[in-house]
Amino acid sequence: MSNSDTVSNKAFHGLFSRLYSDDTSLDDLQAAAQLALQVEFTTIPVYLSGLYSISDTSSYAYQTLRSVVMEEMFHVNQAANILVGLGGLPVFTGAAAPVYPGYLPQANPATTPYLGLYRASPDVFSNVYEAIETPAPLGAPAQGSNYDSIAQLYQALVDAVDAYPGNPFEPSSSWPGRQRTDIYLGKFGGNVNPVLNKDSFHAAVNEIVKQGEGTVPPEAPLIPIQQYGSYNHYGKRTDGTYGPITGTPYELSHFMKFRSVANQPADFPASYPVISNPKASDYSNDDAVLMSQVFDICYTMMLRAFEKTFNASAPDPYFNIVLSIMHGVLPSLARAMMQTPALMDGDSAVGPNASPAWRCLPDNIVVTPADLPADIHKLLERVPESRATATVRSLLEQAQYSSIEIADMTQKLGLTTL
Amino acid sequence: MSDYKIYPPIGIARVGNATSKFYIGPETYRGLPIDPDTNQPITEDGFRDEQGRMCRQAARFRIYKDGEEITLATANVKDIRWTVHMANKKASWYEFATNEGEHGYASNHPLRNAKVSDRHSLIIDPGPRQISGASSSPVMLDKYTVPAGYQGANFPPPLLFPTTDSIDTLGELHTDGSGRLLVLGGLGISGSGKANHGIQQYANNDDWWDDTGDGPVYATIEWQDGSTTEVSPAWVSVAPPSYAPEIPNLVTLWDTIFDGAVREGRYPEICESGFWKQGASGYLPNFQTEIKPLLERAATYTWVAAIPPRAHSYDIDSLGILPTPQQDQYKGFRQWILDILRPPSNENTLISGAGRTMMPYLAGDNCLIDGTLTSDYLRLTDTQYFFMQQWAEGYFTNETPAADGPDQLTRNILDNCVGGAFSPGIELTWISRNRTIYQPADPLRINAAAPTMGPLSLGFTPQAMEPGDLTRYMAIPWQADFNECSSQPIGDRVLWWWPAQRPEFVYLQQAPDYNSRYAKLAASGSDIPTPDRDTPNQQPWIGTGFDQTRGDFIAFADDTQMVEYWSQLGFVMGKDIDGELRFVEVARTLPRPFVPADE
Repeated sequence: MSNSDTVSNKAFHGLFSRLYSDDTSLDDLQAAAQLALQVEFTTIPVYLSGLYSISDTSSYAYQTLRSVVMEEMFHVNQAANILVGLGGLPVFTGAAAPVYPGYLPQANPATTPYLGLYRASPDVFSNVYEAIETPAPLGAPAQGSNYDSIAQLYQALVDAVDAYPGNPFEPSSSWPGRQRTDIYLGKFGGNVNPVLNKDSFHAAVNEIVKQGEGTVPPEAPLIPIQQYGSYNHYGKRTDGTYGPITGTPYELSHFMKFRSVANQPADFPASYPVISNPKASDYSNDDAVLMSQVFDICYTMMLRAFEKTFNASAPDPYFNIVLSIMHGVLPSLARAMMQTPALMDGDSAVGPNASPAWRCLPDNIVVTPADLPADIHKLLERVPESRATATVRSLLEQAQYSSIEIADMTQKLGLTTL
Repeated sequence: MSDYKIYPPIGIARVGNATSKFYIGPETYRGLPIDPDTNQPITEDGFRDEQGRMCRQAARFRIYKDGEEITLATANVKDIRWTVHMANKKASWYEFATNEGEHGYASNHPLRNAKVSDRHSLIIDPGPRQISGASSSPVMLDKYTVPAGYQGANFPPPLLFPTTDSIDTLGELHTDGSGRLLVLGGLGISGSGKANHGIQQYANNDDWWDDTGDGPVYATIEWQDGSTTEVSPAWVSVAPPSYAPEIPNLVTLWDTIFDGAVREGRYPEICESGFWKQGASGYLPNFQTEIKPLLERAATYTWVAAIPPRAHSYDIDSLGILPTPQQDQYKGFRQWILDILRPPSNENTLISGAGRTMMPYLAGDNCLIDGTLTSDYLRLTDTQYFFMQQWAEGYFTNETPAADGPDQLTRNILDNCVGGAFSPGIELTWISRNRTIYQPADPLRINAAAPTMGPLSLGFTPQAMEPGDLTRYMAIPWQADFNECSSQPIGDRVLWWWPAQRPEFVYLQQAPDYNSRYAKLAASGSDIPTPDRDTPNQQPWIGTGFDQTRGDFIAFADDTQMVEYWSQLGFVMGKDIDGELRFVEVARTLPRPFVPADE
């Protein structure tokens, strides 16, 4: 199966009917896993746009949102492991890349939230983030091409895997993928585990569903057994303090985390006055336009490298390229944009400021990591050296520093183009 | 300056309440104590005597010349005569107030027991003692055997409250079968001369005494031809028990003392004339000895504190893969780790600008007193951080360390001690950072004053350090700091102090009472185990764990209870349980749950 088959809307057409039919194919299971992966991934830029717009990184809102987005990244990885376990290769680019504003892929627009890229605010936490993660009661199984809740999507995948004769995860030497289990970084919840059989598949889905958007009603425990006997998370405790928490209590669900921020609007931290659902074509400040273009190049580069980390036939660029872009370039560029006026002669303290569009470039546009340092250097040349621009310059310098290393690493890995 | 030197230059004994049975302090990094009869690591039965009392830990001293050990079996050696003089000057010294005094005390800094005018009466001083020969009968450092002619011997009043014990000794000397010296400390007795006089605070309590101490260790070699050689002296310091000997601290006492020596210019290959040797042609830290231990320490903390295990358990060995000109697969991973480590001059930063919680998540030197010296959070030493920087850049080696020797012995012993935060600490405090107390030509060796017949000085002369001059900065009694300094509220967070020395949460040995329905799927690439879902739940080592604001949150509600019950607490030891290595609580005689007797 080629990548384009996996991600074309054709693969998703009537998917749920096929998953609940008597002759579900391995291709259908792969399509459902790819869809789950896209759904998880689609939430991340939505959260990151809000996250980077918060200027106080130690604030409760920032820390809470950051913990959710880190866990969503684990979910993406876990969903990718399911797909690899089924013999597929995860796709993040081309038609699989999310487009904003819009709905979750293949979601029923009547019952699921409309997603966009917004500056963080209590209303965004409440109306957008909470809506994504709302625990939904299980209704009738999804039919046709759309699902009404993310829970339905996962339930359909679980039911189809359970009904599948034999072990669809039986490893085969002809399968091209490589599962990732070593990305756990930080203090966050969730496991990223290999998916080798139906049991480990169930554990993987459980891991995703219980943390966020799943089926669990608020009054029921998220999971009957504690996944670790140790204190495995830090967060708000029932004693009112911040500290170690055993297991995965309800308070750690993404839904409740967002509620706890939205319910205290007076404590909400300051944020940059960025434009909603940004498009570079709306900007009249050329600096902002150029930053937006460089951001999209880096984002595209990361997505394409991320695909390669799951492909066993190529060297693994995860720790030196994907992580470096995710950690060293994108946050700095995003914050630089958010402090740069979108309009010519604008005031960055007042706005509207630019903001990342999270646009994956079309497959036919090749990106060259070796050009990245020069691209960022051009940005630095445009931004004058002055006290007013010191923060933006320092962010761009950080991004440039990382980009030099990324250019070097990609060269060494033979990824001269992506 | 003698070519003959006593090693380690600083040895650590630890209190215990067993009067005769003892063990020798670990001489390997993260090692278990050593059984003096077999010279092998003790078992879990070795922590206590047959009456259930806690054994003392002896500090063992040896003589080396040019890397060769000198014992009674060495050719032409007739005898080795050791002289030890320990004292406890805590009650006569200044109050401990975090970092105040590190660079000299101000005139308004309060004294402990300020009302007592005879300051010598506040020093516990048994005078010097000598021992020689092999397997000699013990020599007591007690009030009954003060050498004739010694001026200034002094002990606390008898009958200390609340235990009604009395401090009559600061320890004893033994020799082993080869004539090496073993120094034992006190019995862990602490108390106040006044009844109903509870502990008021963590570090300074007037009228209180404890039986820790420290002092110089001298040796003279007598040769068969009648000549003698004076050996370069060492120092012994008596500390609280090490309840988790196999769990190391992120910043060890060796790290701290070594860092001072590096910054002083003693290791010009690392730092010369104030400039760090950075870059590819600079100093290349060895992953195995200078980087990997730090990563492992973060992982092993999870056995003694409520620290998320998985966040600290990754494939450590992949981080030691040397970059080649063609390939550096883990560069981003190394950089990621460097970026979460709190850098120098960021002692008050918990959350970085990028929103990451900076590590270590441990309280710093001065989170207790607001002022110019505030440093809320612990950080790596400058030297440790420099090593991590070089490593993250890819400038490091990965080599199996050289064989054992006296320098390695020194490092092993000090690596098993706390190197921060010093508030005040466990074994030694910030006095260990003061470079003036060390010999100019031997960067880890204290300037010992010549042997004295007393009385001891009340002041501080770094070029001639006297008995009691290292431990006097520590809390009096030590149990107060030891009880309170478990967790520390700072801002809206609660941070940990020294979980590797003073456990906070421990794992019990009992098997879990549920059958895990998940098979173990992921195998870690490291040989450092961390708790997983089959490990039974963590329990507070002392006190309660459900409310971080309670007075007995992982501590006794009253420090005085630590004075009474310290010797009954459990040790944390690596054991094979259900086929895997787990660091679990052993040898505890205090009931769990513990309800203090009605007083």
